[in-house]
Amino acid sequence: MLAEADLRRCPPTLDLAIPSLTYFLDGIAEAGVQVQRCNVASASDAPQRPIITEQVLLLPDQGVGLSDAQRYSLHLASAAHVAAHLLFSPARLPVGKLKPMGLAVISAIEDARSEQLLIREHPGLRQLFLRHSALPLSGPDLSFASLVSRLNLALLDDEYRDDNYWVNKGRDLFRARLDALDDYDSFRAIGSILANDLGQMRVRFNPQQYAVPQVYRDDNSYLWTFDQVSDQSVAEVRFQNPQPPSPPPLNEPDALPETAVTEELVVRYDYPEWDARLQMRRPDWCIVVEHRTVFVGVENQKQKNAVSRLMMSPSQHLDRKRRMRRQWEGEDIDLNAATEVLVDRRLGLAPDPRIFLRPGKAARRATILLLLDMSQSSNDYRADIGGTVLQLAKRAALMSLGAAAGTEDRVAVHGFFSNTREAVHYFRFLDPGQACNDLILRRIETAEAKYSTRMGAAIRHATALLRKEETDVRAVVLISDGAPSDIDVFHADYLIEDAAVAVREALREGIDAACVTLDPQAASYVRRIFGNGRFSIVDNAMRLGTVLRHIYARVSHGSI
Amino acid sequence: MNLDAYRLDVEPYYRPCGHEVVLFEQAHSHRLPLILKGPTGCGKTRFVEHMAWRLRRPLITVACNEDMTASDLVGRYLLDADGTCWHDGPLTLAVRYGGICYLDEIVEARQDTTVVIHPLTDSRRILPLDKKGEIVRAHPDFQLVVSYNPGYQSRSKDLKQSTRQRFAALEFDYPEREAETEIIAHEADVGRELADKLVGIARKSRALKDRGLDEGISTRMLTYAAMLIRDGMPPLDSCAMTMTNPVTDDPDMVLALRAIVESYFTV
Repeated sequence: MLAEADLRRCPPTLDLAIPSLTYFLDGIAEAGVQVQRCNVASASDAPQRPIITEQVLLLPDQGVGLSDAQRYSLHLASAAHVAAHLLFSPARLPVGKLKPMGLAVISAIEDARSEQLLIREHPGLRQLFLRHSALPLSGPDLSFASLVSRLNLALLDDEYRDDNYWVNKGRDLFRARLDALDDYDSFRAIGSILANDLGQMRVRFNPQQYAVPQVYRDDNSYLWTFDQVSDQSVAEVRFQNPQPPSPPPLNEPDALPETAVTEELVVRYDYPEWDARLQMRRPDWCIVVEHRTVFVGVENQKQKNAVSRLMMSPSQHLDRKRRMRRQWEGEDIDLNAATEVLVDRRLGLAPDPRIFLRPGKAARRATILLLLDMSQSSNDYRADIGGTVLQLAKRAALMSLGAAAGTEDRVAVHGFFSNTREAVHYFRFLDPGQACNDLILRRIETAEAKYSTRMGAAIRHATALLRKEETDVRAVVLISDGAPSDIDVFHADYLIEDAAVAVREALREGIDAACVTLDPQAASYVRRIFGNGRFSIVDNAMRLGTVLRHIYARVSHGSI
Repeated sequence: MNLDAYRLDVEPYYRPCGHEVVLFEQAHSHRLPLILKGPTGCGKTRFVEHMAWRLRRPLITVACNEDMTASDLVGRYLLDADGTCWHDGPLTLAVRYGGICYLDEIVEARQDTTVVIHPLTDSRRILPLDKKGEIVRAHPDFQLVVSYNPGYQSRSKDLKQSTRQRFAALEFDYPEREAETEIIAHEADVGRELADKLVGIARKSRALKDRGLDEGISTRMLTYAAMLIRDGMPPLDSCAMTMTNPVTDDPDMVLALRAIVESYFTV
């Protein structure tokens, strides 16, 4: 499937393959789906298969013993199979009175039907699926897994020949309806017929030990809802919520000087809110409670070197106050140079052709306020990043801080959560231009996520703080993991509209706003809030740092 | 001076995807300034060429960039043996002698450059050459057309309202699947089956916009790929060279796009 040059570039581990698998799945399925490593042990004895949950594909690290290229190709096949389900399979149908064996056979037929539909558009995928559908070498037997495995192969591979009556019957029934692949019900009927035949053939089925034979296929839990079934024999994969291990500290802060004295300042501010239903501003509607630590008697320490340094090119803009003389090209003729040209001509000398004048460039200074969404949801432990979303966001913010240290940019790190309109807590961890010291790092590190996300009020407060800055570029960059919400708001659009109005108000004042979001479903609202080109959806959390750096560079160059 | 060198002799191929041809003709009959907006490589420039040919007008194209100054558009004094002499810029040429002036990617030009078009784009239809002390009245055939890509929308690189509101606008997007297939098949002279596959790949890549890609694969890129495949190059190599490699530098994205390409071709 992969060209030779690509084989050398195949990611050697599942973790490294996840970003490209996410893009692949997003592209093929045209939907935002996260790909994560599945670290959860299956409750049954059966080998593990990929699992699709809501908007997440959990991939077990299969293919031990395969080469990098083969393993990557196996994961690609899994992603393609999942795309087939997402595009063509009805999800979470009630199981009803179906027996486990019926479920397994109907699921196998559905796997084949959805793959055929996908292959219609992507004929290259047939080869990919076939590569990972090979039968075990032990030879055909009449166990359930063997029969289903052969049926799967027969449905996928036109050249495969089998001597089993049941397999051939399945193939014939399936082939007869190939021109009506969109008709789910008729294929389900084929599954029922085949399952019934197996029952009469007295083929034994042990749900505890059965796994979908083709390793690249998912466990089909996506297709069914088991809620109404009390039958314990149904194979269930139980998800244990992994207990987050104690997080490693972001940076090991040095001890503070003993003379350090801090004061916690708490100030209340009132802000309006936009009510989209009434189409009016509600004045003084939200109370932002600002928390700030003031240092008394401590000299600001130099910027922590521990925060990894990234090179950022200082941004420049055209400055008409700087006039560059004697240029090859330019807007105007440089009179001094032109006079010299005429003098040189009279004297019979070769004149200097650099006679133009043009404006020079000056460095552009930026103030960037990184605003962390510290709502409860960012406490979620994510196995793929080995920590919580908030920890990742903090790391990414600190990386940007380090990146800015080499430039003239002023970076602030603030955070917020809200508990109704009367308590939008806003934390000013680090203000623009303030040197970062251990205490600040520790405060950022220990800040906890709670409650909800009232984005509009937080953006208004950030805007108000940025208004005092005098740099050429001023911008708020929100790092978020979900849509705005709060417990006193019941209308889904209310806070989205309010945040959109807050962003528009900021833009009107010349303060940029951009957003990096970890919510794969953000497409539905983030464009409404921030507008075209002012957001980036990060499907793969490990890329947050890179994406944030990219947005940061664009914002600080004034090119958002 | 006449602008014959700027006339198009051969009809540039353009397949309409809506009423844009009629709308352009109407706008031209009133000499309304026009904005064409749409993603890169979706056919804006080709459309203008087609319309210039159709209306039998010379077409003067200027590709804007951020180093471009007002002098690059209107003209400047140069030195010659007798002292200084004035040279008309491309915009002044079109205004003086009558033609369609097309400013491609206008947002790339700095805002102080774009304001020179203001007096041309209201009822005055004049171009003041302040350095020369001349006011050029627009030729009756003069029309201004500009284009930009709203996908790279940026505050510093955005049209001001005072500029925007002088224009009528036509919005472009990548054509529908059928139409795009027809365009690729015609442009690259390939079969519809191949064209359809390439369009399928492009449509998948467009789903990745804002999810790792700044822009999806454009119609123009598809044409290049189709040409190489028609010449007998292997499809996977052709698509890598003309589509996946140019569109992104992110190695993970390149890998994913190649897998998408490969899903369309049986090797």
